[in-house]
Amino acid sequence: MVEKEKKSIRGAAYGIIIILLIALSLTFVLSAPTQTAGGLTDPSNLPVKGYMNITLWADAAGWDTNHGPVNPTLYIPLDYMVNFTVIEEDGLPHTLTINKGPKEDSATLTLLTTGQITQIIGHKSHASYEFFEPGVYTYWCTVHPTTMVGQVIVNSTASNSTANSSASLCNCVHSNNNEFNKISSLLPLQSLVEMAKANINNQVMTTMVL
Amino acid sequence: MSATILLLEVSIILSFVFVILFFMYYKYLTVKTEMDNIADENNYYDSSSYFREKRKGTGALSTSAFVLTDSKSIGLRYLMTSLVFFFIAGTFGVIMRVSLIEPTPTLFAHREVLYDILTTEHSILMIYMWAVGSAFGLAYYLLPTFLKVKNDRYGNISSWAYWIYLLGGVFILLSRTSTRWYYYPPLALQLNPYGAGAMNWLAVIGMEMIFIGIAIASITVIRMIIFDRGQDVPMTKMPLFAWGVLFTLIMFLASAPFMMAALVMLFYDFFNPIFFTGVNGSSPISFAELFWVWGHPIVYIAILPQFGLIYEIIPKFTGKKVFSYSSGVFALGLLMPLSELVWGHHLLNSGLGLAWGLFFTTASFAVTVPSAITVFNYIATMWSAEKIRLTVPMLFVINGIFDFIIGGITGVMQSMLVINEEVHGTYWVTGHFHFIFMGITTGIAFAAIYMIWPSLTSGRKYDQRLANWHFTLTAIGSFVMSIGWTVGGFLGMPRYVSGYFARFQVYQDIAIAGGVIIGIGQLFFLANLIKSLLEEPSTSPSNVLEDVYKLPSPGAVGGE
Ligand code: HEM
Ligand SMILES: [Cu+2]
Ligand SMILES: [Cu+2]
Repeated sequence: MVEKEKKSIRGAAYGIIIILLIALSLTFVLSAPTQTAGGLTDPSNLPVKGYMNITLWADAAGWDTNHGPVNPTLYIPLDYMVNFTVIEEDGLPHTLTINKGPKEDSATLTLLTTGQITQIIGHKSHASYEFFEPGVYTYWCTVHPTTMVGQVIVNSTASNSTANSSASLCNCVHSNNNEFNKISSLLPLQSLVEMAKANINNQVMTTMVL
Repeated sequence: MSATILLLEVSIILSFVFVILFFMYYKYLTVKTEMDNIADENNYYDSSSYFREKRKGTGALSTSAFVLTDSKSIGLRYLMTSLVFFFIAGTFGVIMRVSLIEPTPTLFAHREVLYDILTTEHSILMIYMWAVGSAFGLAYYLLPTFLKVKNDRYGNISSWAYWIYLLGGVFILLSRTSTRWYYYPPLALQLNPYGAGAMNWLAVIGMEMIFIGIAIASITVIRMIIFDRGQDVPMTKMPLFAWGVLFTLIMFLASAPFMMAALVMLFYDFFNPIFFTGVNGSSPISFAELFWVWGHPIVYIAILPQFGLIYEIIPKFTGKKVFSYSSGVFALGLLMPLSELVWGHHLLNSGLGLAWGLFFTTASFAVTVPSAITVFNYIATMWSAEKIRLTVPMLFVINGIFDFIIGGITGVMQSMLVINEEVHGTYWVTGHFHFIFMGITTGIAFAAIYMIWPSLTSGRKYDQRLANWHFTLTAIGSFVMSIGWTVGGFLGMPRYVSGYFARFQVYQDIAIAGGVIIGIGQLFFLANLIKSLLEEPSTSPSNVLEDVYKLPSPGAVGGE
């Protein structure tokens, strides 16, 4: 009787030891220090001051804005939620990755992975990110880190004054290369915007206030 | 971290380790002296053998194996350790597989480095602790009987080798490194706390300790095979398993020094980067070369003992002798020098030049000759049998041969310069070696474990139903997983990454299904083990693998 109990304890002990060791090593390994996206992910419930859309074409020769200049510098006011749209241009794998600092380093946040930018030409993928700290950021593609790399400048003072300072609006992606397309996508939250539509002779046809 | 602090930490940790080891050794010596006295009173030369033979249950999976130092106990230690590591590393593998359910990382989103750690730990632990560990376990356990060893000496040295090896494995686990199993610098040299590299130095030390442990154990086993055989077992009549082990260990001793030296140089590079970092004409490629001089032989080290075991297992199920003993020995022996010559096929894309590329391609083709002789020898042995009993160990063997044929063919294919250009760095390679590791290394180890089951559990039989499930799920799962990888890899699916391109989802999902099936299958093995230990002993604690060599006239006998 005692003998039998001892045996059953031994049998159970084997199972328990193996399972324990598995659990122990698994928790140990999975708790390895990983810097979550280089400290780039935002604390939750950040106030959003405004929204902004940026479209980039992904091409191994360089990020571009629909065959505009490559790797444009992006100016973004502090605490703005930026909606990135990346359009596959050459069918190669790309990522949209950012980090804080003027150059690429290892503390990164990948907004769009090679899985999301699908290598299907013309496919659009979306990601949004709120720049909640002022400073210089780098955006790049980890597959083509030497050619597809540009800077993001997040301006803390601009955010309060953008609503009426059109000068900072001009720096936007869409506005610096196309004469006919001066619409900027920089729209502060809860503010009045006057939009004027002009004909080809630059005569104002209608105005509206949104 | 500065070099001084690092050195300080290393030396403090090492001194603690040595203090603990010394204490354990002291304790052990005290007990050992007492045991020696008892054995002496009973006219036994070696106290461990006395205790194993006279005490009930000490020949089985139990803690006594960690104290006794006879070869059988050492073998049991290795077997138990390797099984534990198999389950640990296997869990890592299944978790990695499951995390790949979506193209973008899911489980490890924004913590992709965890995937890198898991894949590194999985590969190192599986190769060194499971493949090598189980091979040593079976060698230490079976060879004394196979060779009728009378004088089982050097147990103390083997015991030390085991502890060094085990500690090395634990260090690898503790280091949480992400360098991949090939330790390429400069990745292995970075000490970035967030890139899972903070403890890379420990991974290098752990690896070196594993090597030292294996080296010592190799020498003792070679000694046992060559000098300690019983009088009636001449070299020319040695069981093929002994030949397999002998060739494996010679191969180990001939190629491991390259890696051992490279690891020392790598360790030096932490403090003064002169060897592999690219300064003053040094190059990371030299490390890669040193590694693969060892790296190819290790993959054969993981199958040669099992090849030998297959020769032992088949006759028990067919009732016929091995078709050709001499060609069996010849093929196993030929694999040894050839495996030393093909290492460059892992670096065909690293700029060795066309001439070297052609040399390594040709050499890799030559390896098929002994592989084919071996496989045909198995097939011929089975062919000449009137009836084959298809119980679980035999099923594992047949499945292993089948998997080895696929893995071998994909191996030869990828050795071709042109095809290698296409498949290098893809899941094709992963598929190639998992066919062989799952089919031969893992399958045959389990086949042997099932055959010596009554001895391991001091007189219990394994549950046939559970074992059948274990076999079926392992075989199906590993085939599904590896074939998904092989096909996906041929289409360009990159390996060793935590995500993948969306167009590969179907292959990844197939592999996930296979991986999960394998994982479930292993639970049946665990259940079987526990169930056996809960039961009352129902049979004699001898086993068919060894019994043949205990009989005066060897002949085929039936076995469970
Ligand atoms: C039939 C003979 C074999 C040939 C010709 C062969 C050929 C190759 C080649 C060319 C590679 C490199 C692929 C690449 O990275 O581009 C490779 C990788 C590999 N082979 Fe084999 N192989 C053979 C047998 C084996 C065996 C028996 C095993 C043992 C289980 C094995 C395990 C591996 C492993 C683990 C790798 C991957 C190493 C890594 O990059 O991590 N191979 N094999
Ligand atoms: Cu790119
Ligand atoms: Cu190889």
